[in-house]
Amino acid sequence: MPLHFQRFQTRLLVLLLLPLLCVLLAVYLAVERANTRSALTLIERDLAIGIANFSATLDERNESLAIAGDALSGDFAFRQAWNTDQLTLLSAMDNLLGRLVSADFIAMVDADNGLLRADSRRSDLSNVEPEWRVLIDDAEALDRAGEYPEAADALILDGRPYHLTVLPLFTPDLGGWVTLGFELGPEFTALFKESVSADISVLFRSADDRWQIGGSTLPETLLPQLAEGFVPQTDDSLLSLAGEDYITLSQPLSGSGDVQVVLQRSLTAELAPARALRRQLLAIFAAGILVLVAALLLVSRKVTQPLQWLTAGARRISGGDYSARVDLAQRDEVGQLATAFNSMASGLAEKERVRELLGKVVSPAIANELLQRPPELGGEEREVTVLFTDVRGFTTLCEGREPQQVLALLNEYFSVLTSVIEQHGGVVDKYIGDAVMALFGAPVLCEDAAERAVRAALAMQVALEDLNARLAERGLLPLVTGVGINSDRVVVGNMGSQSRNNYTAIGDGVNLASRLEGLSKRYGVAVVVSDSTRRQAPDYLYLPLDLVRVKGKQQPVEIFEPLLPIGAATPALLASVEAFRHFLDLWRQGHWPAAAEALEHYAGLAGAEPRLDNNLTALYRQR
Amino acid sequence: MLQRKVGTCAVALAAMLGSGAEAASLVVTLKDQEGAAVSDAVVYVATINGQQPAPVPRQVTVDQVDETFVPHVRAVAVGSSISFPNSDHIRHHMYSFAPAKTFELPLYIGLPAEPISFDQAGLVTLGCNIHDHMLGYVLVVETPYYAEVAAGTARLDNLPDGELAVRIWHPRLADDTALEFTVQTATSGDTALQQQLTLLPDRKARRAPRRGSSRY
Repeated sequence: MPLHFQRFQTRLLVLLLLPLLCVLLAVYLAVERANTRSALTLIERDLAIGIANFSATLDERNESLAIAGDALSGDFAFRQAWNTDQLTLLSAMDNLLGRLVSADFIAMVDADNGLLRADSRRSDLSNVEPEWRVLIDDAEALDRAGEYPEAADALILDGRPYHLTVLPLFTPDLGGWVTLGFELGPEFTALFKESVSADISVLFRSADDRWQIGGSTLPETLLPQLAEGFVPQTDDSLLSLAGEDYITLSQPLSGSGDVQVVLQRSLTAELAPARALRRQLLAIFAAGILVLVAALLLVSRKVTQPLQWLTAGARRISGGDYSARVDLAQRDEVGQLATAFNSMASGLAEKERVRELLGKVVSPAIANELLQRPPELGGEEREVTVLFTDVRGFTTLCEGREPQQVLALLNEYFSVLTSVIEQHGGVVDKYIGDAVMALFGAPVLCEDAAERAVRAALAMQVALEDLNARLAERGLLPLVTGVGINSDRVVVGNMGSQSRNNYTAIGDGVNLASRLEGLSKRYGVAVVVSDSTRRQAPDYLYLPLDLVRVKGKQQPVEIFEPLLPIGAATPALLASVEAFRHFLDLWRQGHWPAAAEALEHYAGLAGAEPRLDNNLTALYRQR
Repeated sequence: MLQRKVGTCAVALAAMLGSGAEAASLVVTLKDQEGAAVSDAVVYVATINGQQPAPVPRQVTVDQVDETFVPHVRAVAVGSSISFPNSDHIRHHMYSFAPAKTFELPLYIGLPAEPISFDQAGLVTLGCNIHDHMLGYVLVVETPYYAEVAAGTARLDNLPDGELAVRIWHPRLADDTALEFTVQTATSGDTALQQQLTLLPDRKARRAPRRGSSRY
């Protein structure tokens, strides 16, 4: 599941806090559960023990009554009283009851007709109530089976719960039944206040099927709720009394289930210490989370802030400012990153200096070309226009001047030329003494290389005029430059050795351009272009100069002087050029007389044209 | 007494009347529901042809030996007297609360001064005050014709002819009443009466069961 965070801080907080919160929640819940569980277990155990305790006490009491009853049933005097009048018997029973601490009443039941013969305390009892009769019947059945005839159970007598024991009276055969009993009431339950660590209640079901309290150790105020809410169950159940939860365990005391003993412990009270623990846990967790958040924020700051500085630095560098540095005091990974960043920036600055330098040593275009591709030796064959310039009579100029002056002058001159060349998309290949070799169409291809070269050559003339004017002001002699341009297929590329090479052009085409430049003096023109160049730059007015034989080429090459863009030519100029062309045609065909005439014609026209200030006339006259 | 239907007799023979020289006899055989011979029973003829015969009093004894009444069941005719010697080395305090005869012989040993007379018909249950387990019965009948059944049989001799109302009693009869039969005696020879009684088990313990066991 991809989660996108804008900030490292947020990510850290969320990714650390969320699991932590989950863990804390789990711990809290686990503790809560464990507490409740342990409380429940404790209570359930206590209740089970309590029930056992109660049953044991009940049995003991029953036991002691039975023993007393046994003694009674063997008592001769009592037997005799049984045989006499009711009043005597009643009195004897009263006496016995006085002896028995644990019995609340004693009754005698006649074996023969089942009627109550005497009752000591509750003289309003005139009948053996049905459940009582059941006890007697049970005892009788035992006798018929040959077993000792006795029976005991809890039952409801006259609206109150009692525990009754029925014992035989032998006279000497079974003559009647002694019934001893005690009430399962408040005095009985009070016995358990100290001994059992739970609240004991005896509940009995009254005739209208509602539960009533026989006796209880619970506070009085809770008793109505208990009677209302009680439901006999086999396992521990939860009962709510006055807002507190009580774990309740009940057990029937009578065979019919109408009399039940109920043991209860308050779960709420038991869980009280757990509540305190819960509060403490919450407090600790809250404090822990706060501390963690603070720590996280602190830590993340140590990371995000330096990163922000580094980002800003990187932006500055990408914008060209290689002076950006980030100083961090920390020595950790981020600190190391800053150190690396700084050295990277230094490295980039260094490279930038190198590049600049390279751009100065060679043209920026070549510099880029070189930097883009690792400089391998070798090249390619390409149609390139080569341009050569040279200063006429440079050595003469150098005489009498100090080297520094010469260099300064040369640099000034070169700056002008280089500027023009680069403006026209050319690339300065190299400076050879006072000569400049430039390439048009390499290393960057362009379609109008020749045209650019011609334009550059013409522009050079203009620029040099300005320069010469400035030089004249300084008292210096003018620099006269000759230019040769040729367009041909040459090889361009990196030439030299592995450790030292430069990008240049090589081939016959290059040599021709150099030769053409040299010819400029002979013809008295500033720029000499080859025929191939002329063809590729047709928008100029060219003055044909001659047909020269070049080493390495079978055919002689026709050479021209570019004058100006055709559009700018005056009709007179056009006519002059045409006249010379006409002359050349005649001359090349060998029509000497006509040629001579044409030449003179041209000379006449040329005299009026400043652009045609050349040696052509004189040269051809000589021929 | 509840009227019961006549029990099924295995055999009932016609009475044979003799010339008076030989009187009728009744031989009674009693077995319990498991087929064992019954002891401690009393067989007696209540009426003959509807008339109650005159009882013949006698003097008998019921001894106390080894803390036991010997015999366990004694039958006597009304007006008889019984002597109760105590042959044990310890004293006994004999008593009875029976309506037929209420008496007591406080702690004594050997022979009491006088025998006790039983002037009323009915069941007298004997007990000893200091020994809970001692129990004996005296059945006082209003007829001279009675016999104690030992080892499953009893013989009633010198019976007059006629229709006899025979009664059988046992202390552990299942429904606590005497069984009644009507038998026609033969003039000479024996009339046999075989009866199966349903008896309750003997009381095993006259004492309370051992207490103190847990009753969870």
